Parts: sequence; structure tokens; C-alpha cells
Amino acid sequence: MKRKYETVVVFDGSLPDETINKEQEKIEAFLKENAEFGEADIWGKRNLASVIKKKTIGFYIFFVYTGENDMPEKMEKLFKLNQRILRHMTVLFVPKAVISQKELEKKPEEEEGEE
Amino acid sequence: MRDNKFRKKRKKVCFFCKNDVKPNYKNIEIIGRMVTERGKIVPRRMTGTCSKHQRTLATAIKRARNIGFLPFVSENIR
Repeated sequence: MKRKYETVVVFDGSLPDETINKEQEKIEAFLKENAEFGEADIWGKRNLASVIKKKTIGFYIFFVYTGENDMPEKMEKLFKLNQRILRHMTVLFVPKAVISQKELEKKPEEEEGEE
Repeated sequence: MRDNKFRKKRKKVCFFCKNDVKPNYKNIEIIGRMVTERGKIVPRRMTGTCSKHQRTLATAIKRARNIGFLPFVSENIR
């Protein structure tokens, strides 16, 4: 049974951008091989709210894809041995994820326009 | 002013029901408001969130903590 997953990968923020791009391409190639790759949303560098593996800056990338239910395990194996990844998390994709307050305020105007 | 014991309290409405939104670990602006300064989850009786959304909110906050969006404990509070 195919389901839509979302994986967030936190790279070490002190790495150069080329290395991170290479890692991202590797993950995308793996996803294209094993699942229906949706999109990669790059949030870039952010300060970590808590120290992870003695690092305080992380580079965030979100991958959305559709795959069989053994995909989380495969992703786990892929990320576990990679030293450059501070943290990773795979969850079911939840639609209607409002990212910012601005999008919330924008909603009423949209509804008025439609009438 | 009479004793405000009789003053009618404003009815709290669930933020997520009102805006038809699901709590998600990515919208840090919204779930960040449901956490105290020390990083603890605010109880339902304070925010007025319904029990269904409070459960999903708690998982969203724990996921956000896991990937470093929210602190487990904010220490630098004096």
C-alpha cells in the first residue's frame, strides 16, 4: 500500500554548500529509484533550539515522496551511517500545514474574492 | 467595581478548529505559542484547545523538539 511520507534531514550547518548539495542529490537519486519522488523543500541554515551532537547550526531539507510502507526503514538505513547528518525524521505527510501566520491572515481575503 | 467573581469569562475557542488547520511540527510560529518560556507544553485549560487537537499538538511539539525547532528546556531564563 503506497503512502505519502515526509522526511526531514538536518545536515551539519558548518559543512560547505557543495557537500550538502551532493548529499541532497544522493538522497534524491535514492528516492527516485525506490519511490515516487515528490519534492525537496530546502529551508537552509537555522540555529538549532537545542545542541545536537555538539553542533548549534543545522541545514534543513524536507523531502516529500510516495512509497511502500518499508520506505521509513530504508531511509533509516541510508541515514544511519552518514556522519554528516545530525538528525533525520520520517513521518506521514500531513496536508494543510500552514507554515506562517501570514498565510493564516491571507485566508479571509481569498474567501471574499471567491463570492 | 463589584467583585469580579461574577464577571462573565470570555469563552476560549480552539485555535485549530477556528482556523481549520492541523497542528504540524513545521509551523513553529503557531506551536511555539503553545509552549511556556521554559519550553513546556501549555495545558488545554489555558489555551482552550480541544482534546483532539491537543493530542496532535503534543506530538507536533515533540517532533519539533526532536529536530531542533523547539528547545527541550530553555535554560537561559532568569
